[in-house]
Amino acid sequence: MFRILERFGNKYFIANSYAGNGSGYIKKGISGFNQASKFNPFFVLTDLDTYLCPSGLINDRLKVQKESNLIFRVAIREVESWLLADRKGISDFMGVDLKQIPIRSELLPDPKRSLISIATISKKRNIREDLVPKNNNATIGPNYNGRLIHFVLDSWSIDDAMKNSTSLARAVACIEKFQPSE
Amino acid sequence: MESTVYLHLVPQLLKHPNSFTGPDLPGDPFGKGFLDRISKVNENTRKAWLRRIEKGLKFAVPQLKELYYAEEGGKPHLEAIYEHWRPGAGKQREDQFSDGTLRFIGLLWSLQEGDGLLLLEEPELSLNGAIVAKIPSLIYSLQKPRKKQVILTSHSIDILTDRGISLEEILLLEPSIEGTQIRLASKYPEIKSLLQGGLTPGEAILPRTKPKKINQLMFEF
Repeated sequence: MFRILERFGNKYFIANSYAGNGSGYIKKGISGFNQASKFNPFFVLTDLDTYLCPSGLINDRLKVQKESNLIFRVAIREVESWLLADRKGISDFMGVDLKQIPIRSELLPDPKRSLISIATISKKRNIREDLVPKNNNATIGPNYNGRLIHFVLDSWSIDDAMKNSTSLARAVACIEKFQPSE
Repeated sequence: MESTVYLHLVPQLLKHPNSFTGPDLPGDPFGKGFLDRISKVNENTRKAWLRRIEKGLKFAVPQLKELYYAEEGGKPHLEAIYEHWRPGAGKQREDQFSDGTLRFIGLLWSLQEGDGLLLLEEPELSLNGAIVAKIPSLIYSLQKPRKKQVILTSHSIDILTDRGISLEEILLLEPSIEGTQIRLASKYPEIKSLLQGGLTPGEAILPRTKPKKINQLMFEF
């Protein structure tokens, strides 16, 4: 989210960031974020997961009128697919042949699992050890977030990723056009 | 006469007093003299207070059967009896209590004594989150019959799950170049909205206390 916002120079300043662990946090907090956006714009990002479409998810989550200063975007199907959409970047970062990276990451039913499977064939030991769960008693690797944050901050190309992900392209367009209403 | 008590019980001082020589600190903030303080209270009062503490502790430690005061060789002690399959094996003295147990005892004791101001430093330390979540209502119940004021510091999201805490009871300390700013949580309209939207006080407030770039914290090896 930080990378998307910084694309627009000084337009956005991040005052506070609220993050939970899993979609339950957004489910619980969204009406609060909606209300709070009356005072400062809120940009909320969540995963589509198993919902059919973003508007279905948004309507389910937000039972009341969406405030105009709430920017609520949905990654199809998970934020990991936005990363995978930068095929060249992911291929370099993970040390995996370009042809192993899915062409249409938005179609992946479980992008996180796809990303982890790609990591298992990585030529880079750091990638394999950080991203792949130690065994079937964990769902992600011991430095999964840390390692991916590296990628997002240092190498991820939003321009390239947007070409392969409509949900990302739309989110970026929305952030570009957004003007706070008083 | 009212007085201010600052409590930040360091269990190691209590358990190994002989390892920490040197003059005691005024006000005994770290609890080295905690047992002496218990010994000075009149017996009936002490029994009543310990019984309340025992009741609270039993919820946290279900195998606990009894908590009581004892003296040996003129020295004050706290002893506990736990359920144990071997008869007589379940007795412990304060130097065997866990850190969490000692801090919890210290907390519940200090909430019952005195009428002045009580300052508690991070009461959540060494305690299970579910117990920590009970601390605000515990403070409220124990303080209700008296005019005691309690001020505590915390980093704990558990302690702030209690929606009974009013935003006017929470102060945010925000460091800045000009010094630390202190403001009531109720003065932030955003916090109020988040609370009304269903977040707990902790969820609405604690994200602000995060170091700004913490998500970028990475170590390269």
